[in-house]
Amino acid sequence: MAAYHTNEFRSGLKLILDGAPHAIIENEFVKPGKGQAFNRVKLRNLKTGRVIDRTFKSGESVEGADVVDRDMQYLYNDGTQWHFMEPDSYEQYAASRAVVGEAAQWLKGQETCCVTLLDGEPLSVAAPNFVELQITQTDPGVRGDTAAGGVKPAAMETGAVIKVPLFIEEGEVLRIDTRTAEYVSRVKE
Amino acid sequence: MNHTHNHSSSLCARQVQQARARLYTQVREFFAARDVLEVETPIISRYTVTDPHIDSIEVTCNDQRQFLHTSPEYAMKRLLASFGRDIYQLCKVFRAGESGKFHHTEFTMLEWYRVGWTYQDLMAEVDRLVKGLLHGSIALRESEFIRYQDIFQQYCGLDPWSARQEDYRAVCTQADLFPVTQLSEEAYQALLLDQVIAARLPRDRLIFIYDFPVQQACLARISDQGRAERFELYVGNLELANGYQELTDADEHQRRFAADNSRRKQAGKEPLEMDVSLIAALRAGLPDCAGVALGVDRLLMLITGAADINELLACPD
Repeated sequence: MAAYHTNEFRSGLKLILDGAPHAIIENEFVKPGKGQAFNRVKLRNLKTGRVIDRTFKSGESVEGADVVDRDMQYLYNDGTQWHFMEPDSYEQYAASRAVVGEAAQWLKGQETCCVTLLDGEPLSVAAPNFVELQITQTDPGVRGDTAAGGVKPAAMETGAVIKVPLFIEEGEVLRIDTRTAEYVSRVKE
Repeated sequence: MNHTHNHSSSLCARQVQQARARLYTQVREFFAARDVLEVETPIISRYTVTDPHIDSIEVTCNDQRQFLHTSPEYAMKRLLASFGRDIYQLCKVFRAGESGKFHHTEFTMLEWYRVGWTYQDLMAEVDRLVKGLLHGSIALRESEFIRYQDIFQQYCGLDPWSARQEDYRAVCTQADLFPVTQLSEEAYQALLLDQVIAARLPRDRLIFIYDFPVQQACLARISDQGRAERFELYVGNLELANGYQELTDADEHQRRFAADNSRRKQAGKEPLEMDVSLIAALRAGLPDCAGVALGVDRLLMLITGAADINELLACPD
């Protein structure tokens, strides 16, 4: 992968630092008076999520990371590997449970996910922002309790558990925001 | 920064132009009252600075390789050698590869020279001028004049004349500064001055830092005590001005330019031809003087409250 010069640094750029892929989240140009210029950079480790601070001398080069985001269709999982397919090329990718992470609890099949590839291998998976899932188990609500306020746990068909208003019943299909794991609305048939 | 039409930037372009015009009028009044002559020198020249940390913009003019000036210093010194009286200039200067909240490739410099003055005299004048220009924008407290050594002691707990690599690294780590490669002492000092000291300076005082380490002398004279007779003015974290007791010895200039070129080569940069016209003027005789260069756009940032120098650009691309 090509190297990036400090004057090419910008938010979103992917680099290899300490052997791991990182994305720049902040880049500040520092040049005291007539002295050496620096780039003070905040980066996120794309494997661990950890944010670090690094100061580069202006003129330094850093190895770029071959990281791309691709929209892929989730096919199925066999317990150890989650399988995705790129719709244009029909190419299939397998991602481990660790790589799929939080996204696993929202997927039942056919969803379009954003799969981040590092050197052509899945690095992380993001579920779509919204999914529609059916409730498999929740306690019955008190009839007439449609006012805002109380919540109860509901288990979804994928195994995810979220908080729902008291008037929601078992078997209902809900629209859920996967980024916040929150109930958004019921889905009318 | 995304600039669309005037209306969408946080600072009205007209306000900026009016503030700039007001500032230029005040600057001209200040110097007229003190019999300092306004001069104009060429922006394009065959020669440029050899400073290893400055990249000049090249142009091809009449089939010849020329440069846009990074400051009017050399030309103004030639004028001083020629008719030895106090002069000032307000002009655009250019530095390649400098871009950020406080840096723009093209910016405006106010540069002036006082013949027969010490750099302490000049610091006091910079103080008078800047206080006047900031009047009404910032309620300034009393200015502070502090030596480089003392401000490092105060804010970093280290003595720049004797600190070791580990001491600098320790201060960096405490300040969440993590250099990726080994830094020279000079680089550590520059980084800490900007990111640790300046970051903590009060925003309602003019802070003059003077007597710099010899490696950062640029074209300042070096005192008998081994200090570069150089000063910088800060307001908060903004470096506004850089001034010297000007070096007048031609041979010493050539030595420093040659050392610059060695460092340029070490950094993989092209060595540059020394400005022979400047050297010739120095041989003819530069009067003892003190000079200072002040970043006008940064001063305007303080006057208008702009958070980013790009807000002051008229007609961005």
